[in-house]
Amino acid sequence: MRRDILKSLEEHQFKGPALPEFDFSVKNPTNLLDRFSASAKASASDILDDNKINDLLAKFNQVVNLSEQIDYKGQSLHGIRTPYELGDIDLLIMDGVFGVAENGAIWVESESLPFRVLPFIAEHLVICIKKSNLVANMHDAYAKINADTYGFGVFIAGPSKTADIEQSLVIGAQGPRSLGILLST
Amino acid sequence: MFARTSNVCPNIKCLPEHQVFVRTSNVCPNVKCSPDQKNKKMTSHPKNAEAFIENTDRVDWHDAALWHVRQKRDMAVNTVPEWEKLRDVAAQIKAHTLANLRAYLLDFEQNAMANGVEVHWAKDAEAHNQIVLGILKRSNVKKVVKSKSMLTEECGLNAFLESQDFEITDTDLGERIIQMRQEPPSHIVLPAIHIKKEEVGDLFRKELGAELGNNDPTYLTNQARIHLREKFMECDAAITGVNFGVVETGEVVVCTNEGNADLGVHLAPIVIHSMGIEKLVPRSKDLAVFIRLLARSATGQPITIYTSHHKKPAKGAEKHIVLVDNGRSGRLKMEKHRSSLQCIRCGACMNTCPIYRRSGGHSYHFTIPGPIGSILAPTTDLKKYSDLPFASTLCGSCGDVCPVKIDIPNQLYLWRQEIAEAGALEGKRKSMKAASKLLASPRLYRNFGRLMTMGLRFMPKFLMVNRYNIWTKGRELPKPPKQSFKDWYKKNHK
Amino acid sequence: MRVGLFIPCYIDQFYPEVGIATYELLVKLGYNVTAPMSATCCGQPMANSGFEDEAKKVYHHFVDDFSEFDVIVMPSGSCTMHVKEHYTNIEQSKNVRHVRKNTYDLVEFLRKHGLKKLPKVTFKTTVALHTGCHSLRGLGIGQPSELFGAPTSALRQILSHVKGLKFVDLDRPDECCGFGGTFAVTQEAISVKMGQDKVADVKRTGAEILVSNDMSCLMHIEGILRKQGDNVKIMHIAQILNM
Repeated sequence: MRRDILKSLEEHQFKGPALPEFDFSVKNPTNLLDRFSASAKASASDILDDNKINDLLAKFNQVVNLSEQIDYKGQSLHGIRTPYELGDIDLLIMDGVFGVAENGAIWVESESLPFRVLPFIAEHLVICIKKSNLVANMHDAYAKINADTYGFGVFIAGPSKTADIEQSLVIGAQGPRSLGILLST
Repeated sequence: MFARTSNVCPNIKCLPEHQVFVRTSNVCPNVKCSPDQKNKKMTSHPKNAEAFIENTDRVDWHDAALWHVRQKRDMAVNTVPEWEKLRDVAAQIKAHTLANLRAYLLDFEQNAMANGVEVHWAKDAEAHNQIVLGILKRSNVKKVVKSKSMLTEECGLNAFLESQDFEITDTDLGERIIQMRQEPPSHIVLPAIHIKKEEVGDLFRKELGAELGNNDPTYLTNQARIHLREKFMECDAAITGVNFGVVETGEVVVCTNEGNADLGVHLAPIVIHSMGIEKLVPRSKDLAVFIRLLARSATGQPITIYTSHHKKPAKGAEKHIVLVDNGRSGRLKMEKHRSSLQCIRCGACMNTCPIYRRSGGHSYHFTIPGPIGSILAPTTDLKKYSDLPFASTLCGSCGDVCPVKIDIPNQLYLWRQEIAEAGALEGKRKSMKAASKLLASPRLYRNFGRLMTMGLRFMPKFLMVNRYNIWTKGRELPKPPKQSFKDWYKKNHK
Repeated sequence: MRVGLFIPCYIDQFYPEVGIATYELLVKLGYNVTAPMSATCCGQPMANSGFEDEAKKVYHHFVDDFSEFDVIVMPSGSCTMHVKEHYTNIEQSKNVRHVRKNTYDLVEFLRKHGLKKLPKVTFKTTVALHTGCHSLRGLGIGQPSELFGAPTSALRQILSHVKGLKFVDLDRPDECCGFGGTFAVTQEAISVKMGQDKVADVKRTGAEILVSNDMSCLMHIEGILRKQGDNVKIMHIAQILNM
């Protein structure tokens, strides 16, 4: 099987081009905060301030807070054995690594999560990143990521969504119904 | 046979829209129709297209929906000044990777295994399905959730697993809808683009007990959310497709909007990622190029909501990658057609294609429809798919929108030559030979021309394939002039 | 410079006025123009049907007719593209290479050689423009809307020299009209639907005339206009420039 495929590939080898040189990184990025915020809002994310955070905390019962950026002791995950038990979380607050201005995405790594499913299974999600941790585009983003540091990583660019029914945009598909972003200094 | 004599498909689950196909092409798109009906299925794009177009309101709606997606793509493209350069780079990265595929696959396997992932190699669709079966059986899996994967569609995985008594649920909303309707997807990114919200409303009322008459997409999506959460909470295994496999890190990247893929992967203890061998990119650095091109090309978003990098299994879970060939390595030897392997499955070619928009994905009777499908299908069965390269005016738009610069229009043209050469168009060859003789002889041409305009009953013979009146079904013939250009020129040129 | 004028078969037979306008225009621009009477067809319909092998005879005939000229001009983007791009399955003799290199669609030719010398024309009317796909994407006369950047139209650029002409924009300016050669007959339903949609777009703009550089597109569109009893007229750009 493996041998057959490798043999077939060897037989059909051909001469192709070299891997291209390219550099689309942005050398002197400006206005990262404004551009990130605009991209995030275009993707239906909310940029949070203290008031909005307090509103969220007041609104929801089952809150899990994994971030030290927000001073709030939510529920403990102590005693949870399997990810299947996490179906009742109203709001998850967690830290992200950095944000990308061109698309409002935030890079998150699994090492900051006791269970990888948490950012997907919570009804609502808040991610905290530092204002100084913003990059311009995906080229800058991948330059910043070290693949050795995670077992699972994800760019999260907004609340879950779909347009599968007659191309009508619905915010809140199967993952979180909202994404709040806290940009701290 | 039933369909042909009675114009009605006896499958009681067939929907009214399926019946329209039956009337004109003797074929029902219902995947569960019995084998002898299926054998005659969907063999002619023109016939299927004709059926699709019969319902003018519907075809206009379908066309407008897809054109709108094309327009969103255009707006997104114009926010990236280096867009055309990115396409060049992407094309070259893919061409390079394909030229070194064997070595890259071995490196990828090694790196994935070092991450604790089990790597399997499937020579064809059947092998893929057997491998998946083996993994599931090993752990006594009963219920499987699956996120969007055209590869598993290509392999017929769902039908196979159901025949083995597994419950398999497609969790992407559009895929779930068509799974309930027992249809194949009609678009590789927007599988339910051919379905109206009223039809989804009816479907969910029947299958999920949703409210009668409530066709609001938000309400319906929420009904699906509740239903699918149950499936996630009960699942034993999760299967996903793969957008990109990164050689240098051994990780697989999956791009989604709904969150369904990640719910499955991070809940289930058994996880399988099915990947076509052509999906590799060498480095993380290369990923950036493709991530910037993919969503903008597909839906006009700058990036999908979730770009998940699956590297190591979670603690206590199993992670598998199934590498699938199924004809891909064979395509590498087709010098003029191998670039079709660069495809990143964005669907932009479908959205821009004026024929696809007016005929719908099912008309192509192949897993992947549209322009890219029309150049892939003949590599699997030239005769069966000989109609597809002709389902095009060669307008060239698909080649322009392809993020990896596959020369689709040129390949369509080349396939036409190969199809004629293979003898699949023998009916036309005689008239082509005659036309050639005529057009190489000024005297014959002139005489024929006179005959033609005098009567104006025939188009130039080589424009006709059937009776002359095909042109006149929807159009008037041009008015016959009093003299040809040549007649005038002879009188007036000194 | 000796200009060989190729009048495609369907223009010769059905729209001679376009051939005449092209000829007269080139003469007005000061060129030495000859239209070989032995010319027939560029072979595209056969090649597009998969029979490029059978088309070789026709290709050789075309090259024989036109190799003596410095440039070859024709009022058809699709035929031009076929000669330039697809005369590859015959031996690339000196004549073949010369012909392929020096064949131009009228619009291409005008942009390269003749814009400054265009005769002054006044034509008070409203026009919508249709650049044939083979011209637009095949020959690159103008930029289609799907590429990065603002779309451009060579037809508009040239016609902007005409006084009194008012332009209206189609909703989908570079959507294919649906002719596609034999496609018009082998995929009749879609071909007609595409044509009907194009006609609807034109009518929506209120244009009095639809102008193109490709008569095959216009033949198909006119067929639908007349079937529907619509008033919009069709004209080849040569006919306006030659007024």
